[in-house]
Amino acid sequence: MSTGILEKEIAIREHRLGSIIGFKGIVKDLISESGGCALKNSGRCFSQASSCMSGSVQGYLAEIYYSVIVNHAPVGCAADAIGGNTLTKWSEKTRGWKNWTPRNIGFFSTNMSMEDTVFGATEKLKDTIREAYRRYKPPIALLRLRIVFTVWGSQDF
Amino acid sequence: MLEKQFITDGVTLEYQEGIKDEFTKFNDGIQAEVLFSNDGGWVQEEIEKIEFSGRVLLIGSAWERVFAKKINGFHLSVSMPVADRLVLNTTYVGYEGALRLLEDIYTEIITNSQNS
Repeated sequence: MSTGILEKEIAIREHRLGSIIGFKGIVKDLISESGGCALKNSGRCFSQASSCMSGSVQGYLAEIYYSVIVNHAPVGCAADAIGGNTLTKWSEKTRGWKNWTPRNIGFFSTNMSMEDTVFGATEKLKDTIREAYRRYKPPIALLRLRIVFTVWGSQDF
Repeated sequence: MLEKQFITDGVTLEYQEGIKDEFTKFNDGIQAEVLFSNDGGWVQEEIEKIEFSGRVLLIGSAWERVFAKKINGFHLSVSMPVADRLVLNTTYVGYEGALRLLEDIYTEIITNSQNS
């Protein structure tokens, strides 16, 4: 099976998994038809997928111990870090590691403003990366370029 | 030295003066220097610089749970994200809300003092 690792854009989750987020009918049919890819997704007025893919990515990155994430986006795009942080703390505690103490994930947002989305925010990004390094001295640094950035693009990299 | 009050909600400049004014209107001359920043890491660094005479009560968000443990403080989440509590039918607004806030603060202090 191809991994599609070179694809710039991947298909939305529901298309890849053949899952559905909309069903018209009765529960009995839903149960009998599920499990065999027989269900057809019912159209919804605006939802394409059940959740933003960003949340899944955030979850994976947050679990990398000693990593620090710099999220280059408006601060609202940092909301999925809350769930990532909660689940990471929960799962680390569950594992019962020796000498484990609760920790928050290392997470920074460049806090892009409306003006930044038009005129760029490269200095903010540089400052945030430097500040992240000053505070954590992380062995692993992860940079997430989010929707606004990728739509807007930058020649500075 | 004036006590410090950190506000992390990203208040726009036009409302900051009004909020600062409110912190001069308490009974008994209680005042606080109001500092605005949505950089929680900076706020934690500033709190660590302060010398406290006893255990600290942090009224903040779930992000501060780890920090409260680190400085051996008490902690109550009241601002977003409140990822460490289930809230179905509780508000801190109004007279009854203020009573509820008192209950939660003292419950944290009583429980934490016995279990930590």
